[in-house]
Amino acid sequence: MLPGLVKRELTLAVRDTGLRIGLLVYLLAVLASGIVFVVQGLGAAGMEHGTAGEATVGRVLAVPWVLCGFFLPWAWWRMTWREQGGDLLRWSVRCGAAPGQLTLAKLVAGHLCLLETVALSLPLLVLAWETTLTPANALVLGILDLLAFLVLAATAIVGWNLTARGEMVALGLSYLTLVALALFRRGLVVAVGAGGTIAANLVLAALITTLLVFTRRSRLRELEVLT
Amino acid sequence: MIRVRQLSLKRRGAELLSGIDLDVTRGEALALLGTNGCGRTLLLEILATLRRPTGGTVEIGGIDALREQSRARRELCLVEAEPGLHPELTAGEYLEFCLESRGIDEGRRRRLSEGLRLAELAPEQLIGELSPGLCQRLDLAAALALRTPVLLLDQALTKIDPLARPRFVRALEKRRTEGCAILLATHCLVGLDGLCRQVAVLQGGRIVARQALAPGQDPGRILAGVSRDGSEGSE
Repeated sequence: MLPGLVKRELTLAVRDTGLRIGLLVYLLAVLASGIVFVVQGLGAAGMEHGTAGEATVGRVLAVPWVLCGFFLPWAWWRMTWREQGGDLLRWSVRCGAAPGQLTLAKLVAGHLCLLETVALSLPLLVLAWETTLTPANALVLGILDLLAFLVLAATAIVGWNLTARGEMVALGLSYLTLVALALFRRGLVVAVGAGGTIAANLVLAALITTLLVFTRRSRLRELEVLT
Repeated sequence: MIRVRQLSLKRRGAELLSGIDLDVTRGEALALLGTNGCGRTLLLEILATLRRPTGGTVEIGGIDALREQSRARRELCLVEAEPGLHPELTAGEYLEFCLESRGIDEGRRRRLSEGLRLAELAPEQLIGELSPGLCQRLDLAAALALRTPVLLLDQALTKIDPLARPRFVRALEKRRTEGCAILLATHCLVGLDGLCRQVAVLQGGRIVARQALAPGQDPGRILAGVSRDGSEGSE
């Protein structure tokens, strides 16, 4: 059941005009930064760390990650607010599922969007110039990684309880790979990327919670009115 | 299949539904008549687990629909007058999602093509570009493709044109003969005498009559007759 629900969420997300524009801008940014990176790399062959060229490359490479940080919360906002309360319940009746399962499908679909977006940037990330990690950066990254782990753990628990185990294991492993990558490739680019990723996750966690609360509240309101 | 006992619904002190007893057995189709605001939609929403009543019991396919909502939902399908379809999806995708999300793998392709044929829609037609009548066709076709043991239809045929309507009625009749229990809230009984053998009348939140449905019977006369009997009875 869950793959069907997830597929629907992803299809709806892909059809959204706002998301299409966001994705297009994002892909163009990835492409542009890739070109700049190659040009810089070729023009500054043998360039040492800490040069102006390196800093430019770092900044340009950060663009897709920053966009990633904005694009994903938007995707989540559209996914979660498109259907809530009565609409969510109606769709749950049509597909014979609990509203929680639909919410989980949204969560999984959002994570797939996230991983897909990150995967698009990975080749650039791997090529990225590594910058020195300051103690402050390390602390921030450590906190972000911990938060990422908590979000992942919460997602896994919810998924496990709703018997969507296969999907949750695959999702968890992909996500752990991302976190591991962020841990190994610490630097300005990675910090921005990880920051965007974690911010997106936090936003989506907040949206999911809001969605659940709203669904519940509409139910409660109804019961309150009835009693 | 549908068993309702002493169902009641109160809102802000007003009794919207009260003392409703209703049975729709396997392979039975029951038309539900009533004036505007009599509570038909509320009743169907309660049966579809979208609302909780203030009193009474509801069983769908032998499942307590008030306690085990998720299980009950798998047994039923609700088609409403205003289907909330996503305009971004195509007709084929909508049908496929309905089948997929119910976990129906067996004969999915066949059901999908049957649904599209019934609605007379091409799979790539975008829902956002369909007329309200075509949307209703699609929604009803999707509900029929799911083949749930219980079908709840709230004015589900009203927007369908007179040429397509008999085809949908025949499809519903086929489901009925396969054992599906159908509860059909409607204002129009034209062509339904073959499908529904009986008609129940809801008035002021109560079921005030249940009688055989004769061919060509006028719903207005049924309602007027029940009102007259009721007023005579109260005098």
